[in-house]
Amino acid sequence: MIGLRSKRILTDSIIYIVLAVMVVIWLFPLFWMISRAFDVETSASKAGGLVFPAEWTWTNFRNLFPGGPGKLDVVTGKYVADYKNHPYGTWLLNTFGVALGSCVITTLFVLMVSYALSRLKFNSRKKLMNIALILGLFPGFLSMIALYYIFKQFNLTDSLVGLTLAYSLASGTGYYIVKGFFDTVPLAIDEAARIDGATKNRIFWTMIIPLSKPIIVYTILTSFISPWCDYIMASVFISDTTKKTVAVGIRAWIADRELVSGYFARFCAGGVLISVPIVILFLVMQKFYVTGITGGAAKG
Amino acid sequence: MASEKTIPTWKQFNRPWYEKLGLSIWGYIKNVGLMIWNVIKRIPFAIWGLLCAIGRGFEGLWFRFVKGDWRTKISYLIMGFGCFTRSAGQLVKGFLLLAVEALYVVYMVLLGGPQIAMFGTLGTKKEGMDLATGEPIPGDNSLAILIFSVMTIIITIFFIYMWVKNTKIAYNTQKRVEEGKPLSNLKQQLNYVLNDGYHITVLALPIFGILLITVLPLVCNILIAFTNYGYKNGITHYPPQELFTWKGFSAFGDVFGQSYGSIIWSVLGWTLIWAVFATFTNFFFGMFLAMMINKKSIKMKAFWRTCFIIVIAVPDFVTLLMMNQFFSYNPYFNLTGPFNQILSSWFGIKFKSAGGIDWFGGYTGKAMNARIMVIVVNLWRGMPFTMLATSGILMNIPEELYESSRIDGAGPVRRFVSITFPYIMFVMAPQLITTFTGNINNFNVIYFLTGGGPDKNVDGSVIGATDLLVTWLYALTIERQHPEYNYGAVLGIFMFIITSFFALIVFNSSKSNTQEDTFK
Repeated sequence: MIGLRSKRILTDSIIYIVLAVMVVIWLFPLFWMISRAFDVETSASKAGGLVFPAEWTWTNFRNLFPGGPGKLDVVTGKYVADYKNHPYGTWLLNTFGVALGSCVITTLFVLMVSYALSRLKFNSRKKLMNIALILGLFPGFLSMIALYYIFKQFNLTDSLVGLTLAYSLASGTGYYIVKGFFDTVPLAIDEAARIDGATKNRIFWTMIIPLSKPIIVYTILTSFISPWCDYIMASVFISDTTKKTVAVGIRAWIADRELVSGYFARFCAGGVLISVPIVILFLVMQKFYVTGITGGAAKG
Repeated sequence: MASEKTIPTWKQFNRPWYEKLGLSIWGYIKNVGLMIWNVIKRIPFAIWGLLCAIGRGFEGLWFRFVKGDWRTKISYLIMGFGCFTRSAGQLVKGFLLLAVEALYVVYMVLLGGPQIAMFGTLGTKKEGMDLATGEPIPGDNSLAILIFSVMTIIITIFFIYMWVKNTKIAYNTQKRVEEGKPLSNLKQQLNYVLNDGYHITVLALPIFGILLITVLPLVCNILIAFTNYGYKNGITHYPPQELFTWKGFSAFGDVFGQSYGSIIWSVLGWTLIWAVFATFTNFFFGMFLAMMINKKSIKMKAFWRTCFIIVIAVPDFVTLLMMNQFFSYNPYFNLTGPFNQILSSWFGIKFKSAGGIDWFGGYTGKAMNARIMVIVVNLWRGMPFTMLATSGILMNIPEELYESSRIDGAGPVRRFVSITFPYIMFVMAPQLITTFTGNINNFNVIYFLTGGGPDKNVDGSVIGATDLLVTWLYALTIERQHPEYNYGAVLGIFMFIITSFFALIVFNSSKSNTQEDTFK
């Protein structure tokens, strides 16, 4: 018996060591990014200290918002205000507005479609589900260019309203998970309410929705996070500096070879700032997320 | 629940793994073949069914017209006439139908009609210039003609549907009057919208959204594949300054022939290699990580899990762009990249070249470096996803399976091969293929890490070593100075065919384990 126990202690300690090493590897780049966000040295490639900045500063964070000192000119040693060309504060507000707006529309649409496909019996139900399946097979990017020109006809490009609509109007196809959840709510509840004379509308709002709180929380969170993190749609739709979202705005600080040496630390600060709310949301919703990615299959 | 029946028992796992793998791969191929055959087999029946339905529709229209009284007959011309002339309770319903007709007529006269009339040529009048003032004289806009024509077709289909519905409503109302039954009033109609017809109420807006945001652009883009909207041999066709027109399959010929014929297969090859590696490295490493964390005797499970979850919680564009700089390299300075510096000063590694290692091959053009690095960074970014999903499954494996295997004298390796792995595969297989198709279209990882490079020339026809079909599509249509929209559309159709091949497998395998109606 002692042999078995010592064997288990040995395997366990190996696992602890492996896990610890992996955690260090996985978190180190993020840790590096956070420390660089406080660095006086603004370029990635000439980091003075390897991990800890030689000199700590809040300048990078202050530069994200109006009234920051701006970029340090290496030649003159003076700060040059540049908020006008890199208005991170405005981008953050834009991102928040777009994410919030599309979250509201997406959540409503997804809930309505899921309810119809799960609870209501009508002729073309199966057909609609098959069409949604086929539409999902086309790369989303394929329709983006034509969509851009359609929106252009209605003056909706370079507009935050247009971007919000582009994110959310077609969200009805993403009903799978919520429908799966509605399917598990017993039909007897509906039938009891029907006998009492409740309309389907009333059943939906006053019975199904309160019973589905966890999946509604999941829908709200995912539909907020996806526009918050999106780059590709925003990059096609927006070119005006004041209408950019954070993703499009701060990508230039890395991708533009002339900017990267002066703006890397600011990119880190901006990246940390945009990530904090999402990390918190993600940690809160992780238990919903598991059922989400396994598509409810783990229930068996 | 019915799914318990389909979960294999311990006895069924006793086949050797290679035999099972072979069988399942063969099963997939066979099933996909059968599915495609089934779809093809059904096409003639579907067409026949459609023709029959249209025939029945006309028959019904004619029947209702002949049997209808004068009110019903006028309804064929003035929608809703059979409703609003009969009773006060039907006023709103009738006028709504009339409003649909009026809106359709206004739309067709002002916008739809003139545009669809030019659908055959996509415009003939080029934008000119007023020689006296130098002001441009607007000509036809081929793209607007294309978009509005498709829109008009969709609206017309909807209108015809409403019109047929209107004749049915008119005839049914007439019949109710003849039979002496009372007509429905406004309150009853409202109740229908909230009760028996509630599916129409809740689906109307979402379907409108899908038609506008997904279907309309998709159809337009597929049609663009048959035009010369783009750039070829130094000639551009960009509206509104220039026109473009129908060219049949010539864009397909260019993409698979002279322009990109040699490149497309190599890009597809790398796309598939990338998708296989990205999917399976994530899957296996994630699975082992989950098994380590979920081992009974391991403490602080939530802590370990949270550490990894933080990585996926940070948005892609932040982590991947940061990684792009973390592994940066510049041959003109001594050890510039942060990771190269760490390797040298913490681990004492001596590099052959002064700059260190060119991780993404941006300067030295080493394609292999970049390809390995995107897979490694993708492992860093994506493994926690698998870890999360597998953790959930591991907790659900019935303990009895392990106990009975212990009685049979199975060791840990045997238990993994015979129980844990098949169980995970059973739940994760459809998910795995979905991830695979997701990776085929994984824009973010490639675009943010390497931008498709090394050796990428955005403006020529040179494709970077890590370019996937989707980033190539982006380069063709968005980044180029002379975008090739028609080639992009062809590429999109090509990608659809590839994605749907794999999606058919998922559909096929998940069809057997969905028990949609078991709860009801």
